[in-house]
Amino acid sequence: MALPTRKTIYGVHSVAPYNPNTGMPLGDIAKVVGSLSVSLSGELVQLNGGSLPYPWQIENGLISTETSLLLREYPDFVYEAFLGGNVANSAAETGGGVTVNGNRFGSSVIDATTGIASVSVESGEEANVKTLNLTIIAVSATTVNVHALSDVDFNNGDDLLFVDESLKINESPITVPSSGATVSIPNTGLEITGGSGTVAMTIGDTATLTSRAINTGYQTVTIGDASFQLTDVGLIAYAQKAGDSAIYELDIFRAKGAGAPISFAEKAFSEAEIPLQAFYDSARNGVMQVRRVQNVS
Amino acid sequence: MTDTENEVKKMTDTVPSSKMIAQADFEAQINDRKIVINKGDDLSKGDFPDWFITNLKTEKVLKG
Repeated sequence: MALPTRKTIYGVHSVAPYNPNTGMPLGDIAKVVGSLSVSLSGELVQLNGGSLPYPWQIENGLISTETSLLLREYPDFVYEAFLGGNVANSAAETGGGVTVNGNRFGSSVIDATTGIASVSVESGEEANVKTLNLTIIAVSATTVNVHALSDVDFNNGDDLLFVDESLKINESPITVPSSGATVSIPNTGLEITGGSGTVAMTIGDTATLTSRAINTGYQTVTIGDASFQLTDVGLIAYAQKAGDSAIYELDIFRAKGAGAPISFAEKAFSEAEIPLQAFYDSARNGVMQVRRVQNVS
Repeated sequence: MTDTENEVKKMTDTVPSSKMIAQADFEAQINDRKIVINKGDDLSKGDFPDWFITNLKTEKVLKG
């Protein structure tokens, strides 16, 4: 009788997290996976004594369930399960969009009556809206300067330029109109609607907003808010399907992970190396399960 | 109209109301229009929207 097929493991195909209580996927699957490695290294406890240089007895100690998941993508579950993030995905915006975060310092810049009532996409200027993070500062009772925190999207539509090293993008202070009138923030595709009354802001007060160019959807993730919670996850990983069609699966019943690095490095994809530890799942009476199926090609 | 009346009318036509004389320097922009006001400028023919005149009063560039 010939020897059986060798039971090898090669490569990685995917890792899918799931709710260990329900078995339901956490909403996405990781495909750009660097590695998933489970330590499962054990320790041996020796009984030594007297003059004998050898152990009298050896028993097993603990077996580590330390697991490392290396991803080169950031699906939603990375933020939710390992960073406690609140993920909000929004639909496409065919005309771009604006989110006014509100007053950042002081309270006079965003004010429905005596400040800026709103900032919105200017009709007919949708193609000039850029993805920006802006800070508006009152420089007089009725005027503001606008500063952009990056020029990453300045060439989207009409070109935008920094005016000086303060990252200001307007040549002269922009007048905030009284009586609900509107003025443009030049070359941004955005317009300011003034308060319904007489504008009277406090010099030095600031507000922030973000704008989005025409898009097919956008995501915001707030990490570390007051409702921060890391929940247990299950993980099902697959090795690369072998040339002989064997499929190797590892099902980690229940694990806790914490942390997922995000890095901006020159000419390199960010990698999230996520530390996890698997532990006993009473409902399934185990820590993990290996399943290998020798498919018939 | 008498000569005196004509003279008065001529003066009021050519001398702007003091309420429209800039009391201070001011710079701003409305859309792409850059506005530079120097103290003493006559703003009566500036073709500004009403709300901007209101703003100039808030800024004490105009009396009112």
